Amino acid sequence: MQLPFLQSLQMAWPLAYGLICYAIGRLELAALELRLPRWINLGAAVLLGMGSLALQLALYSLLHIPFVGFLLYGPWLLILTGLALLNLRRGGWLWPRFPTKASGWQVSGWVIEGLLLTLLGLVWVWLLAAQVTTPLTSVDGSAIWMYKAKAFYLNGSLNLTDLAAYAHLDYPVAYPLMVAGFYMLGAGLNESLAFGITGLFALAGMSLLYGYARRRLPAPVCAALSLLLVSLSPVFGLIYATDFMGLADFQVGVAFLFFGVSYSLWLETKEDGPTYLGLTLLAGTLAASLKNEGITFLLLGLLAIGLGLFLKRGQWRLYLADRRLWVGLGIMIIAVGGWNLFTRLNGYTTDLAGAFSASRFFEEVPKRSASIAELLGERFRPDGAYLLLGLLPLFSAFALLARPNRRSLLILILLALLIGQAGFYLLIYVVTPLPLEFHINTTWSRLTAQLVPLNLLITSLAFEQWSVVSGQKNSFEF
Amino acid sequence: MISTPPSDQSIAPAGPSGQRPAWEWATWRLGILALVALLAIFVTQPRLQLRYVSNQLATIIEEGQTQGFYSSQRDEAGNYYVWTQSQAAISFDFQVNKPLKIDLELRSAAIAGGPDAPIRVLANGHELAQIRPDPKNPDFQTFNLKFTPPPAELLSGLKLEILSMPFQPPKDRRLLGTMVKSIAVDKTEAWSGLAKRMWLFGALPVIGLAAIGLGWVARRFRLAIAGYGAMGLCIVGMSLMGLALLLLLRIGSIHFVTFGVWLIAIGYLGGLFWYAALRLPLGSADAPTLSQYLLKLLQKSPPLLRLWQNLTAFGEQVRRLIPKIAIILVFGVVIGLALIAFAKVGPRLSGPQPFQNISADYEKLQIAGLNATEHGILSEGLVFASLHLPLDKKLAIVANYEVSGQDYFVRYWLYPRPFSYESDLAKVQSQGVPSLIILVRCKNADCAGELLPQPVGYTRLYFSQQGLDWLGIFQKN
Repeated sequence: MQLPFLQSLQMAWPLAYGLICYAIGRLELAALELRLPRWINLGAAVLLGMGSLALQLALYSLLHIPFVGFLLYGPWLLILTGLALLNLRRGGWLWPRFPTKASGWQVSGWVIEGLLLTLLGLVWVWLLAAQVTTPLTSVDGSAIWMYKAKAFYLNGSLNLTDLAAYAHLDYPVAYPLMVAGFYMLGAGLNESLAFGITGLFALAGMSLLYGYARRRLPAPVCAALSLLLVSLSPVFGLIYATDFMGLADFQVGVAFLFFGVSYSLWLETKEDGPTYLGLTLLAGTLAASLKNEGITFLLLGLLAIGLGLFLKRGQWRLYLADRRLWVGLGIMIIAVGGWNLFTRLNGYTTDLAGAFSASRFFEEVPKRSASIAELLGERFRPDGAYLLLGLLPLFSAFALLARPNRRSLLILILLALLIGQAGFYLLIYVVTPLPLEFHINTTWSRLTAQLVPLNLLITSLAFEQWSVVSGQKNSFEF
Repeated sequence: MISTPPSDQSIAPAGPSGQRPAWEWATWRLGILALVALLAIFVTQPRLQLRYVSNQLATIIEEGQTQGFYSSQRDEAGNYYVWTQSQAAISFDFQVNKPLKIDLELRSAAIAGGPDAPIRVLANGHELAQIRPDPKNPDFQTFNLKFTPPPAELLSGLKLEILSMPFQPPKDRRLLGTMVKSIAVDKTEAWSGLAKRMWLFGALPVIGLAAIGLGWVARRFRLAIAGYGAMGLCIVGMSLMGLALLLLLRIGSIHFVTFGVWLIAIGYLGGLFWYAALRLPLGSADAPTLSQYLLKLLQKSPPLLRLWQNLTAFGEQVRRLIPKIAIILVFGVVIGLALIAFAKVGPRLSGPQPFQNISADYEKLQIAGLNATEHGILSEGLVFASLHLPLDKKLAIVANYEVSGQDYFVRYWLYPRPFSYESDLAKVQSQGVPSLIILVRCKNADCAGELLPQPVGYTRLYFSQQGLDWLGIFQKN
């Protein structure tokens, strides 16, 4: 491809989109009265903003409001301007200032931290420039995700009727809606620029991981974890390689991370439990709205939430009385429940639907286990990154033994979530009606990549746990 | 000597009065802004010569938009050219009031079986010339036009139109006008009024420094003549900028960025010299300034004095509000721009507006005449084709191989056009399907052979993917 420099200048479009999403997300965080630590704020706001715009479009479609940029962004613009003017009138600053949770925030060594953040920023900008100069050539991108986005954008509604069946009409549509919303910003139908949305997910993932880890770990460790998030080969392939551009797997992986971070913050907090739980539900909703795998993750996540509520059983009244929690729950039911109802009513089912039965599972397990292990082994073996990804949960599991405490419980829950999700992928391989080798060949690296961000979050917790053992100060309690 | 008026703050100009650092910082700011303005003038010199070749006329051009040009094609002699519709136009971003030169490289439609009729060239609706290329000459001929553009519509730039008698060749659905190879625009003469007088701006730093030096001498040595000299230089600087402004306005908007930047920069620089002249003492250091002298004159007329006092009081109120006004203005501008952007986005819903990244790239490769294996991948070819095919008419795709492996791409890029795969080319052509894509799998050597028909009005597409080559053609509407 030519014109990389000039084309890369067009990254201003995804940046503008990211900025708008960030502003929307910050408004929502302010409305939830959430005081997130630094960097986590950035990642959460961008993800919430993108999710909100997608949900807004889905609701517009329901209400027969056409997909027009003015109608999508106009209300937010009005709210933001109104708030800004209101603040000015009160003699305040243009932007609402949220107090950040200062506990644990280390300012020492800011020069090194500044350099590390600059490095991360450069990596991200380079990644974004690469993304917005990549043409759409991926099969799934053309057949499913960008295909739907194009249809939504051109039809001006969430209309799936004239799409080919191979577009998997049952798949959640948050990502295509985000892309359609991005086109409406003014960039027009431009697949390459829309790949910048993947870059925004990368930014969100890096900042969530960095921000969460940085609360207790030194900056170089946090920066290394963030760098791994985008550079480990399975993930890097997804966010850089032409063959994978336009897919939603990395996005759903970041949503898993968002869930993990929100959930951890919720378990940690003693004061704003309902709000953090509301955020956790929103993160789970985002995951379930991005890909089918997110739905199983949400189900597992709800189990984890149930466990957390059990741990916080003394505060149930507080939770029941807090409307912010109900808002999160309401959005989850509308978005996830609404979409699943829509697909049911229209008869859109997954091509794997017929395969899910206990009898088939027990019938296929003995037949396929060895083949699955062999096929996956063949693919994992040549690349050391997979070995590392396999060792990381082991490392985290050993951290459980290092010092049993409340954090151990958090690590255990998140590990169970990770392994449960991986187990679900294996379950699919067992029951798939597709030729096994074909199915594994076309999915194994993407599915592994989905789990990388959460895996790294758990690793950061394990690092903390080890640092406690090695005598560093630490205070962690539910 | 005129004495300084009593300490009436409402009429006394804001001066140092013990606040020297603030005054000095304000002066520095003014100076830095002046340097920025001067730099902006030198950086935003307009591009005076523009040449648009066929593929640019068919797609995107600098400093304007085109309308009524078909896609670029290549003749047997290797010339790249575009057919115009009966009415083709270029709407430029600029509008000048001085002579312009435009060179049109054209060929008569008679060469391709069209009429030998004169071509009318219009500028802002006024006829400039009637051109008649040699109907027997297959070479492109250059026609030079020199003219002063007539006034344009409000907020519009120069609109150049090429009107020709339309004809429809056999086996081609298009209505054709004439063949254009290139269009060149030369704004050198129009800009010469300022280009020859760039010394107006070059002299400013010298004048400014000299004025500062003389001002210092006047203060340090209480030398009245130096004070007069400093003031005189400021007035000279202001006059030079007045002259520059006059020249710029006489030329007109040579480029919207240049015109805007120069207008603001010249206004600022002229205003700064005027402001300095007002603030300098008339003669030696303890003499009143020109502004004080003028105020003294004002005091002799009570109604004027009251007006002045009211104005200064109002000015003070405005000054206090400036930060908030500025912020509100910025918001207003941002919202305004966003509304304009959205208004422009609205029409996109009526049909696809694919961005031209990939297709432009592909088109460039096609025009560069590179061989088939270097022509990108199937998707690139398809997006290129999709730009030229109608949305609403049925499309037939004829292929000599099993296309299911490419179906994803074909469906994506052609969406939302209805289409069907066919296998018999002759049958499809006899049915008169409005649009047709033909995909033929071939080896590199075979691709140039007889596998494909070569009907008039079709454009060839070359694909190369996974070690195999495809050659296709599509019929443009």
